[in-house]
Amino acid sequence: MSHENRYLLFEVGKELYGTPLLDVREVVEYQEPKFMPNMVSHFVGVINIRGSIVGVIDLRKRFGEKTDGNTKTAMLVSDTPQGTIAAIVDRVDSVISIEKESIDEKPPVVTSVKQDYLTGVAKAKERLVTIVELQRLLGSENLVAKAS
Amino acid sequence: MEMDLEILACFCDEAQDLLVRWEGLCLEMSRSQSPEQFDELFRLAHNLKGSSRVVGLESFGNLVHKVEDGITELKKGLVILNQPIIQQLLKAQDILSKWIVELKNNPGHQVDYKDFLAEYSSVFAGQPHHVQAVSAQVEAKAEEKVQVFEQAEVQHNPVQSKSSSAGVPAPVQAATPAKVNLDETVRVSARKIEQLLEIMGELSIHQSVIFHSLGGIADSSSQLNHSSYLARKITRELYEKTLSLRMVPVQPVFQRLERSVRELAGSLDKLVDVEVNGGEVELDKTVCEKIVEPLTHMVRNSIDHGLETPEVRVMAGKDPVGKVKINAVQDSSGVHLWIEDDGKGLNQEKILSRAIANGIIGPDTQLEPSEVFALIFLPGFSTAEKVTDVSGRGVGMDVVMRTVESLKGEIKIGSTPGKGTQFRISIPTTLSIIDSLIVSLKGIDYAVPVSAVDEIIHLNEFEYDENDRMIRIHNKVIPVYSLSDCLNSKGNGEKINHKSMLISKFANERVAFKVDRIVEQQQIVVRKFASGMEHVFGLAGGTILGNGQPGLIIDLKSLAEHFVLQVKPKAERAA
Repeated sequence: MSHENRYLLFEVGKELYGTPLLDVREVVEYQEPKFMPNMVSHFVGVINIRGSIVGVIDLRKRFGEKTDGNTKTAMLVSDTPQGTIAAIVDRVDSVISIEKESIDEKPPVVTSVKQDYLTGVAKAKERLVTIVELQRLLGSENLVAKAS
Repeated sequence: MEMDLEILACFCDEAQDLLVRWEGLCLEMSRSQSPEQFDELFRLAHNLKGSSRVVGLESFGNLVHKVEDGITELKKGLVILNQPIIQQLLKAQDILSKWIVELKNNPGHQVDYKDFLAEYSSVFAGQPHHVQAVSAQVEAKAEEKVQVFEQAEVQHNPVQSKSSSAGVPAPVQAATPAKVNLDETVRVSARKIEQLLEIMGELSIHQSVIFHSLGGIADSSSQLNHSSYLARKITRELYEKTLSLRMVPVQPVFQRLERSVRELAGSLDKLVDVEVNGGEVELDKTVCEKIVEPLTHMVRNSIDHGLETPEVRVMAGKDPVGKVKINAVQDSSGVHLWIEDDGKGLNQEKILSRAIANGIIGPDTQLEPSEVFALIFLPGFSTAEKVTDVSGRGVGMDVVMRTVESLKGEIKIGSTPGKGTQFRISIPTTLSIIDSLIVSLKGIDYAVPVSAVDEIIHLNEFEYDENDRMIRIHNKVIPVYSLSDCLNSKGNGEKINHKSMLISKFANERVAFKVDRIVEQQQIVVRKFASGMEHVFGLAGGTILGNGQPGLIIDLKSLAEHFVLQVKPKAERAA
């Protein structure tokens, strides 16, 4: 079976997002990241995944969602060009197939996601799903804070 | 012809090994000679020729073949070995080595070696042929060949006397010390070892988690405790064995040094005798690769600036031939590399005046001799006007220092005017496991490499106010920084109560860092950060702490450097 049109759906805040399944190496249980100094604000620390130190990005901070409550349940781990990065999400929903034709590419709306990583918007499960490229989103950002 | 890249890579690796041995043999031959060396060199060349042709490198094979012809003449005794021939053999080695390096990037690489071959054959042709006398010896040798080493020395005597008649000084030395790397080997890709190490690292982390949690269970059975203890011990052994897979002898590095000494001495008209010891000492492969450049620089320095010309040496009542000793010793703290010369020694006044002229120190700074010597490692010291072709090739001693520090090592200098200079570089055998202090900053544990800490002081023994920016230790006032401020550490709001200070040094300047608490000393496995997280100010990497939690390694040395350099220029300008 082809993985090409398969997407992993996850929630950040109240929004439902989708990312190509192959952008995600694994999904791990949430673990409290350890603070790392001198990093950008949405980089929340590091965790230990089977002996390697993996940086963590809080997608809620990244997407500008409010970070209240302890709803974080999972981390999506992705092998990006700048190393393995884990992303905190509120909930992992499911894996579904979405035909390319049914993705409305780059709608001219203002979103919290940079247009570069935004593939488009699709409709699934009676909801609108924002399709992002997780690997590029996590892999092309500056993580180290500029020296003050 | 379509060449199989994998086979080519295999050939390159093999060829490199052969060429390293080739170089070693040439260097040995310039000290003393024996027929075995010709045999071995011949075998080397023959192998190289054979395998190069197997992978379709015709032109490469042809060059080796031509060189081999010369070696055959040496072997048969038709030509007598002398320095020009050794130079040519080394030159051939050079061309072939560079060729191999190029081949790795470009499988079709070609080299034009016509000029070299002309030179090569002219050196051989310019020799009288002593056919009868030598062939008799060769036959005698062939009969004795079955016998063991002790005999080898006996039969090598006639050859030696012959070579001295050819004008090459041949000190009495057996041809045996070369037989070091006869251990059978298996070629393994570095990536596989890397993976093995990763798995081992993971295993030892979990081992340590189990060990620590067992300590917290009151009624754990003694059998369980015992097994856990043993498993921990075995895991550690396994880890060390795995690490040792990456270890390589320093011999090839020393060989390169020896060669550059000879070449340089020749071009400077200085007479130098090189003594190399401890080539069998092993270092991590990456360490070995990084240490070549600084060592070469230091050796070249010794010859260029340290050793005097023969005339000056004779006037000073010394042997006209200068001595350079290169030595490696291993002990429990790591590997020590010594570079010693018996030249004129470092000139303290000169160093001081140059340091003052370059604004590195104030005009009336009082320094101990060792502190004066350390000045040569400061950035901005060796940029002075005297840039010679030899040792001023853009690599200053500060780069040497930086490389050694990046390897978590240190350099010590000793020097006596008129007697000579010794450099000692001490480096840990491996970079992956380091001794570290676990310190707590606002409730978060960090690791600090012990090598970066000069001294630890407890504050109740010193007069110190929490708001002070300075502290007086050993009658010197040194600046104090809060380590958690340096790292903008947020922490979990635990009340800060500085009890200890870590003192680190950069270029003789001491800097104190306040920490909340020193938790313990621990051996940690250094983990590289993903590329996107590299170069974070104040951090050297990550690790997994004994409790299984991720931890960050603080780069105390670079913090010290940062603060010293930040403060210094201002103070100097004020003065």
